Amino acid sequence: MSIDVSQFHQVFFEESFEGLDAMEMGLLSMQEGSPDAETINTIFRAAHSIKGGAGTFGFSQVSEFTHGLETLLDQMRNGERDVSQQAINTLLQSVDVLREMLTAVQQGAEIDKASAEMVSHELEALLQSGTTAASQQEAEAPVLTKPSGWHIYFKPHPHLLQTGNDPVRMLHELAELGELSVQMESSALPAFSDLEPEDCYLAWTIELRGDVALEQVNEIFEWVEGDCELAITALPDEADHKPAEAEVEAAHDEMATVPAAVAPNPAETKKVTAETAMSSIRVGTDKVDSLINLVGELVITQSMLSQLGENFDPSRLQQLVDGLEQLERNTRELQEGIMRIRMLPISFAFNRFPRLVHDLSAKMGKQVELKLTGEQTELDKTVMEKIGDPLVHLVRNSLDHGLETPEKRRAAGKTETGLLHLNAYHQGGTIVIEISDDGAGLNEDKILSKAIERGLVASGESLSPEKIHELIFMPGFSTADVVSDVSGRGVGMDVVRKNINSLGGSVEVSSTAGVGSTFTIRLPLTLAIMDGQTIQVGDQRYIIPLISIIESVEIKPGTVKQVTGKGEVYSLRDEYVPIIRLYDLFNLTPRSDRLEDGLLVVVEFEDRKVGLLVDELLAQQQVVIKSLESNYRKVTGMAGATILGDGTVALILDISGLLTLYRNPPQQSAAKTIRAA
Amino acid sequence: MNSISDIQCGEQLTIAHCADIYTQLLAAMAEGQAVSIDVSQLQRIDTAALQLFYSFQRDARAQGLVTIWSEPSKVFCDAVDILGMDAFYRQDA
Repeated sequence: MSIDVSQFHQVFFEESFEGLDAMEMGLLSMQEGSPDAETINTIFRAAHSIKGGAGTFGFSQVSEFTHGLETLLDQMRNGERDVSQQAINTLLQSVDVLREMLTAVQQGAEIDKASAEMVSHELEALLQSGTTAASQQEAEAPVLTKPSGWHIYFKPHPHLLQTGNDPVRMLHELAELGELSVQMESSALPAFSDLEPEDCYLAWTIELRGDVALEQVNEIFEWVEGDCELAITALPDEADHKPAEAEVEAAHDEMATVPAAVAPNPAETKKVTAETAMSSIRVGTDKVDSLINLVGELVITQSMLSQLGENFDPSRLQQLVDGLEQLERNTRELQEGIMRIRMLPISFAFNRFPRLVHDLSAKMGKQVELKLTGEQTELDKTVMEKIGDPLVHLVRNSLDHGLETPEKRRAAGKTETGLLHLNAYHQGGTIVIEISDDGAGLNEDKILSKAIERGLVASGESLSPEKIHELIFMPGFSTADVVSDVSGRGVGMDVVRKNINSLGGSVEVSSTAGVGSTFTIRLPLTLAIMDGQTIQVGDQRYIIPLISIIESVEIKPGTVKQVTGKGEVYSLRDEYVPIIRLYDLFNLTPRSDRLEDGLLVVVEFEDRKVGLLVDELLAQQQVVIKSLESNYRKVTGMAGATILGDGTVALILDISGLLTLYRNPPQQSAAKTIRAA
Repeated sequence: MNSISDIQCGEQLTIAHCADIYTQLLAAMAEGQAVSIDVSQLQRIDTAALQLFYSFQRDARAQGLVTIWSEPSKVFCDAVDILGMDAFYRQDA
């Protein structure tokens, strides 16, 4: 009998990705030199399972790669090897490579051999180097012949100095390794009047002579990788060691050229992984058990009611009423139970941040403590999937622009380590996520001057701090002096707000100069159910999402003006709001076409207000959203449909779509399709 | 009559101080003033600050402005050496 093992692939991938997450968390919590036995065991077990599974399913490249990793971890576990920062970093890189490999295998794509080979090479180098006394003795036998020294070309990118890295310190460290001769190149240095004092314009050609291993040199430049042009080549050896030298050079060439080619991959892979890993949910058995209980109750109620129906007479009316109440209660509980299944703790979204913060803070030369609270706060799976990217953007933003370098913090009288706090909690029917830092806060002067420069604000206009902070959400707005690969391309905050708004949520910022900033995101707990306002237009009922409604007003005579070519506008306090007569748009017959007889529901979308003219406001209620696209087809101006208590269908209005419809009215026949059946 | 612009570097001079020093040096250059830079107390200096001085010194020299370096501290001299700027400063000696 043959078994088709491919049916287990999905489980293997899910477990492997979870294992990789566990490895990553463990590695990030590991301290150099003082390993926690349990942490190493957890990491080892995860690697071991991945290797075993990959071997079983014939993913030989994955199992071979994991083998080296496992050997290293095994040595650490048995105390045969010290835990060095270099080893931790290499292990973290291995996790990235494994994730990349598994994603490729899962999607049937080619495995990127270059990055795997590079990390394998580093693992081998680590395995051969041996840091404990016992292994050091063994390593006395020459493995690699060292060249007479190294020729290093080091050209920092302009922003390098701002990341907290300092060539003076790095060159001093190099000088400790051997005999150093340095030549500075200043041809890129502009005239003094054009100098940006915080940018780096210099480059260095360095010769380091002595018995120095390539790893020692690499270690010094480890923190500036990606922030500079760096070429390290072996110096020609005076003694006759040609073959060995060639070997080292070849090895080095690989190290020097491969990172540039593979560097962007881990980030891309992580994104893919996040998407693929979310394709199924693991549900706690307690949640499933409670659902089974609820279904049991429902079955009992249903059988009681059917028994009642068989021999019904009016004297048993009260029993019927009680039974129906019970049915309603069962249904509600079942609905809540099922909704709970879709709820996941926000730690699913938060988990990626320890690594992100670890990598980015090292890259930028900042010291950051990441504090996560409220990780158990639950959120709908769909919302969770969509909030990931905006959260990453906000965290990167805080790291890049909010938190200062240790020098600046010290100068400001703060501790050198900045605090980045992610917090989540429930408030009413919404989840609130706060991203706060104790950094420099938003630079109001800079934002304002940028806004004036871009013509967003009139020169001389005075704005409240809140209004100034709001400016950062304007499209294309960035005050970053230097466009870094972390953030500051000016495509950020407006997209963040747009994405969050599209989830029916909101994002706000509060900031105090020198004290820090807090971004507060509010999101509905679920996208499947929302609070709606039922309205009557002609003989039809529609639902307006409650979150879009600002207020509803009665139209008094004299408050409406006609604007040539632009229709009617309502004078709402100090602003004019365009009026959309819904019956016109939907081709219905209103109860009355007099404005004074109807009500104006003022709604807001992306800071624009419009007034929707309706005949009557009915109840506010929670509605279950049914997709129009999957049941019918996409209809502009409609977000979906719902079934009301009396069994009729009501369409849910999509405010942004309505605006489009208002600007480009459809043909008569098309308009008719918008009517609910 | 051009006076001397006096710049005190204190014990630490890093990227955080560069904007201030730059403004002072730029003003002195615009006025055609001689500049006296006190680097005698320096215990810490980074690349940004050294690059700033280098750039200033180069342009000041071209404009015939006088720059006086008062008793450079060992830290300053070592940093100049390690960045490979020593030959440049020796031209004034």
